[in-house]
Amino acid sequence: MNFIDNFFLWLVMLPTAIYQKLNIDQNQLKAVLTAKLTMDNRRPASFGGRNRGKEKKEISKATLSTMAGALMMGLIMLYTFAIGTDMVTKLSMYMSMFIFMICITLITDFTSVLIDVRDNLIILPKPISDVTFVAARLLHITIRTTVVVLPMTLPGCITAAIIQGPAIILPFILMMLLMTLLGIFFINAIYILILKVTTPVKFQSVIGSIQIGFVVLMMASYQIMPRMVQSSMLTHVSVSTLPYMQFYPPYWFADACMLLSGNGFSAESMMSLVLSLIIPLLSIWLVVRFFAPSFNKKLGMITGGTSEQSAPVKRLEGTRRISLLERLAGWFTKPGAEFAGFMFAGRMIGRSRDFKMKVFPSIGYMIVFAGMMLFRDKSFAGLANGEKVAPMLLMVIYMSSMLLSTAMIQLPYTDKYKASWLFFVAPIERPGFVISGAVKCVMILFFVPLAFALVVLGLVLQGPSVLPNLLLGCLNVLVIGSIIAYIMVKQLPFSTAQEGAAGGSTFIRSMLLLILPGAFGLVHYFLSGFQWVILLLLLITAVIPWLVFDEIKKRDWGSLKNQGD
Amino acid sequence: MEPIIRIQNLNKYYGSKHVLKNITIDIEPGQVIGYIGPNGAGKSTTVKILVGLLSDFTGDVFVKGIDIRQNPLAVKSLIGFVPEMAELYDVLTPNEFLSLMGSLYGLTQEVVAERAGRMLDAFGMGGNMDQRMDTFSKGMKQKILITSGLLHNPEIIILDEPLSGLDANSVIIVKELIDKMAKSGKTIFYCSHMMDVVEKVSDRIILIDEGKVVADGSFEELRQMQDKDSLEAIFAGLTSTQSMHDASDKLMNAFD
Repeated sequence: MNFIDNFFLWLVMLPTAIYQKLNIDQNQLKAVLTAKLTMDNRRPASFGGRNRGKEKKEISKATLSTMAGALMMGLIMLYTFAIGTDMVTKLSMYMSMFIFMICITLITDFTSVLIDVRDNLIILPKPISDVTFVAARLLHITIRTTVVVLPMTLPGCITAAIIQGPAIILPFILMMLLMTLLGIFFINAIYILILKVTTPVKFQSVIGSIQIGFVVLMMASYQIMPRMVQSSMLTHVSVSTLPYMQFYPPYWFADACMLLSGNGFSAESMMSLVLSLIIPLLSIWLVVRFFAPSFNKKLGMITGGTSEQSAPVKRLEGTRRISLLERLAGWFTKPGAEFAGFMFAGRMIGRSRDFKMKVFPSIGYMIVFAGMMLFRDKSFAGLANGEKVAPMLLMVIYMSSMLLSTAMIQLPYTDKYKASWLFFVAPIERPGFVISGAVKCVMILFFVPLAFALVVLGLVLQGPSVLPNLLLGCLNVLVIGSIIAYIMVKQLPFSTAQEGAAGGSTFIRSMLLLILPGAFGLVHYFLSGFQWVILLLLLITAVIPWLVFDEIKKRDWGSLKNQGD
Repeated sequence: MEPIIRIQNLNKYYGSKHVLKNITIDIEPGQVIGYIGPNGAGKSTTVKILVGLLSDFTGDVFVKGIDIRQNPLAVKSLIGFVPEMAELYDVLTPNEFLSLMGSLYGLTQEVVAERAGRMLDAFGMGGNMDQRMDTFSKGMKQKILITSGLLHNPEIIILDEPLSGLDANSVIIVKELIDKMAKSGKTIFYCSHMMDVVEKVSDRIILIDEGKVVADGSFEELRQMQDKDSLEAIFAGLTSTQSMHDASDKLMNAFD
């Protein structure tokens, strides 16, 4: 517990008279809230989840870092104030952004609050009344939300006050509050929707995918937002001139906010005010009256555990189906440990939440960056005419080595590192075989499809003359990837705890990530005109990855840091 | 007969803590060894050394005449290990997990698929082959672990609390399986806290306490030696420093 939690706890415990009237046991309430807030503080923060390698041994300031992250988001959201010609437009944009952000945050944060399986085992069997428990849950959610909403809206509130004068502050805060309620409604609707289409058991994994999507979106928005605002088109729009704006909720809030701060009275803005007051309150009433009961019933099924277990299916007799992954493993690896490493990595990569959380954002980043490269300076028009195809595609190819490297570096880490005992009891001559298989798998999954697509694109846009350079670029990325794997992947795949992951080598890592592809790319760029040099280099670079793989395979048990206990 | 496992003067330190003190045991093929002892006695450490997880010990460990430090791979191939409360990569399906284990022991995918299918069918889990294990109950995971330990048909099977989480019927299956495997000449090293099970399945019981072997013999022998009726009583007689009644009295008195 830090001072913020203590403050909130003190604040919510103030209305003792109300609690007495409602028959809420205040000692229990306080005890539950204290435990919950303490646990929140030790849970990875929703915004701080991506600070790679910097994680402390023990998370103890999660609340503060969540607040700092929310403040950051609030600052980024200020870009919306640069959009449009009038205040209603700016506010509409801001409110849209806000409701989006709050929904996403709530979905990532609330899941752990709402679906704390341990509640059913630890709290509910104790002599605690329903009303006390519900109060604890509601207050907990309120505190969690406040912790995010407050810092997130602060920069916006100040900016609005600067532009519009202090009269806007109170209406602004009121509207934020109402929008948060609306956000809670949306989240509940989404929860219900997810529970409708999937089983409660899968619920958490669906939420997990949404979280990953959120991180990718955040990465993309860091990149896109500033650039979007720069394009002059957006600064000259006004939402009031757009048709159907009356049906867009953030517009009501913006309009109502302006009305309340004493600007522009009209029948329409009056309508907006009414809507912005009624809709959130109505939706919250819906949540309490209809959503919550059925939701809790379903929730019981999640925590019920085995009752919802997917029913056994009848096993098909006869020939065994060989998956694509298994085929690839067969082509690229030797049977035994290397094959096992390849298959293992291939299956884990798509399913390990840690891995996806750490690596997939780079994919978003890649796509955004590649897109911007292609569209910047109208170079796309040039591309279509066949100019500059090779340099452009080469740039994307070398860039993609960052994604490959990120995946490589993440390969040894997982929450489930203790499950790696099996590698240590199995008769594996050298762990290098398993590592080599896993590294090959990462290369095939994270680079080969992209390389293939780019080579095809190059052939379409320019024809066969582009091939030598593109192939050399691809091979160079494989060289870069294998070098990074050789330096960074020193443990078995998915065998190591993330804590303190390569803490000291952050510098070396970023050097490698940036300088290696940069150097290769630059040299390549200068040589790209000399056809015969490229052909010669092609031959040379084709050999290097195999040599590096031979070295990786030589890694022995003594070189591993963790010894499987 | 040549002992299949020969442990001689085994000593192991964790830092300055002496956890195994001169352990010497010879185990004949086809024996079921019940390896028991209180928490922290050194059971898990012995097991970790036997399966090749720890190599910084002094003394000698031979498995089928092979020095475990000279040729750990040959020893590992002979052993099937079912760890206690093991962590699993539970995002994998049993099929995928067992195929991983099989590949690591050098089995072909066809053999793994065939064996795993038959073994899990026998456990009544044939229909769960392609479901991710994260929804599995503890008992189901335990069945997968047992299967994974037996998959490569090892000569020596080391079981660390193999019955935890299993339902009554599966317990019967596993107990009978242990019996049959021993009759077919396999050696079973069975670690457990469940005295009644150890009493029934073991040919020979080895009791260690504070890193030393304090009793070694068949249940009959231990009974005569200690003049007690149950293994539980023998265990208590040999390992407890204070009387159990004292401890429970103290617990009751905590309310006063």
